[in-house]
Amino acid sequence: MERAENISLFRNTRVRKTVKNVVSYFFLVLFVFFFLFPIFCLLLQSVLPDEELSQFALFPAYFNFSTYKIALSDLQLLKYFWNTVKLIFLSILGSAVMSSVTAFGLSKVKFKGQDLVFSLILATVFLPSTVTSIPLYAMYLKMGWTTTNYPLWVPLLFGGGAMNIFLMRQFMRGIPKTYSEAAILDGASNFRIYLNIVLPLIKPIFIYLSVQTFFGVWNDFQGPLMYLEEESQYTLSLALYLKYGQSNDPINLTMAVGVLMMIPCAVLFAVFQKQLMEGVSTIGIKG
Amino acid sequence: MNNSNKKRYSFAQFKKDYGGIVWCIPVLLGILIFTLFPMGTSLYWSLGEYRQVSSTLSGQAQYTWKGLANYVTAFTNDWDRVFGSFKATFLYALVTIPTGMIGSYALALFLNQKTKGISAFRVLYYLPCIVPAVAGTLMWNAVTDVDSGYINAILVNVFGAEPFPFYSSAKTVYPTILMLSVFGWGGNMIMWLAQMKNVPTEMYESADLDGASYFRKVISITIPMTTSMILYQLIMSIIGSLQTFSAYYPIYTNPANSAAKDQLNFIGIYIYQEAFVGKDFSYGCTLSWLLFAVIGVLTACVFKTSKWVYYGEEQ
Repeated sequence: MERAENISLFRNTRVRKTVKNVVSYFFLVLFVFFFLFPIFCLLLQSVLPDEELSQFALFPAYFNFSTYKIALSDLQLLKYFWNTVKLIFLSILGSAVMSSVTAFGLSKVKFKGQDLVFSLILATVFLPSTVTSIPLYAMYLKMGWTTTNYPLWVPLLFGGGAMNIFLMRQFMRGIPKTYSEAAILDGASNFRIYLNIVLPLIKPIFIYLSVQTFFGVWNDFQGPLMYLEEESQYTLSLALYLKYGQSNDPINLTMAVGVLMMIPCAVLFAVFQKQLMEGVSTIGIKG
Repeated sequence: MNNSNKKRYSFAQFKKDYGGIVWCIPVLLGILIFTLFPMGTSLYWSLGEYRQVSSTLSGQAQYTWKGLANYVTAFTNDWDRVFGSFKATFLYALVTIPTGMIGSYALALFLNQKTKGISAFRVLYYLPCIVPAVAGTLMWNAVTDVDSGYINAILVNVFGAEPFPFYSSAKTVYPTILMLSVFGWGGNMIMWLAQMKNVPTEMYESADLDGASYFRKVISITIPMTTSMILYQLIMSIIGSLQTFSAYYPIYTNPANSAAKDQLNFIGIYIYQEAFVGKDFSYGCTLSWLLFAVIGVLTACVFKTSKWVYYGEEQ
């Protein structure tokens, strides 16, 4: 009797489990259709035939891939791409490299007023960017920086940005003290400790910040719109809006550029998915 | 003579600290040059009149001290526009923050299961977030177009409904923003998931032994263990949505949406229009300081009432 009961119980839970799985897969797939709708729209619009642009069609009569040909043969676009890549590298120099220097000073060495410095850095997060961006724009204009891309990366070299410093510091605090203590006993200088002990250990957060910076700069629209005045300095995002995004431009070409812009981000996300998830999890830990 | 009881910052102390301070010199200089100095300038400009005259050199602009005149203008003559702009911004924040936080949290809970292939679903849900911001905005601009947009094509051709006005009508602007904000939930979802992974599994195991239901575990374990992320997300969403600009500026400037200009005139856009399009630096600064005050008060309120946050065991 007891055994029979056990079996029916087992069957019950197995049935329940299968039902649960079916239901959850059903919703998982349903949501996929929903979340892929923007991507679907983007792709569909990028291959819209020119004559169907202002039509009310559900599906294009044919796929017009010439938009990609036009976009890829546009040498201007290549220039904007190069501008963006340059800016990304220079920004990473600030957001990942310099933030590790600052975070080292805030977590691995001790000095009076350290907490005050850290609070000061965190306080800048709450300051709306427009408070400083208007005088900064005037300052850059006077220095002739608005014809260059300096306004978008030079400030980052000074410390690396509050949130980046915060994350870097969180991560460095997790490095056991014994590592650096042993090095101090051997007479290593702070710089040696930074270079030989800390730097190799912060690789995960370094990658996280670099990829985040890539996404940030790649997508940034407000900064370039405010500070870049010369067309020769335009980034892809700004060019997409100012050159392709105006209402008189064909939307299929704009969207083709958009799809091309999405590819590097998709590849980076796929490659660094694990590091991105791990990096995010350092945020919630108490400072 | 130094009183040894009084802690005065001495040269000897500085010599000891020097090795540490030196690492923070860049950031201190940066805060001085790119934050404190512009803050002072901004405050000074907000108390006067300062316009950019020529488009090439601001040096030709003349500054005249006007005291609190700009602030008085903001609260009297321009009050309708300032109030309207803050109202629009608050409505935007009220529409997107609670739905975004609760919705993305629910989505993360749903994806925080051990079903086969779950990580592929996470990537798929996150995908809309890697559409470049400008491309996404322009895409929605086209897709939600009243006359030729794709969604209306579906509504009219498939369901035989009336075309939906989306951004082009004052009434449907916020519902449209709310609808489309759902596609951005994947970004927050990733952050919640990372935090949920940090919850010790023993907690769930012992709850299982006690026969706790799924919802009981969510309410008594998952939510309390992720409160530090909830606080972080709340603060960041408040700061971010009150300053919103990039996502809606192309929609604001689209002539097709002129009927909803007041609803889309968020304070970030209003400040940009005043300072960078109208070249009225001083009034732009005034509005920025008002925004700073609002953000300061709101975040202070959140921090003051953040007793519910659990930061983990103190070491």
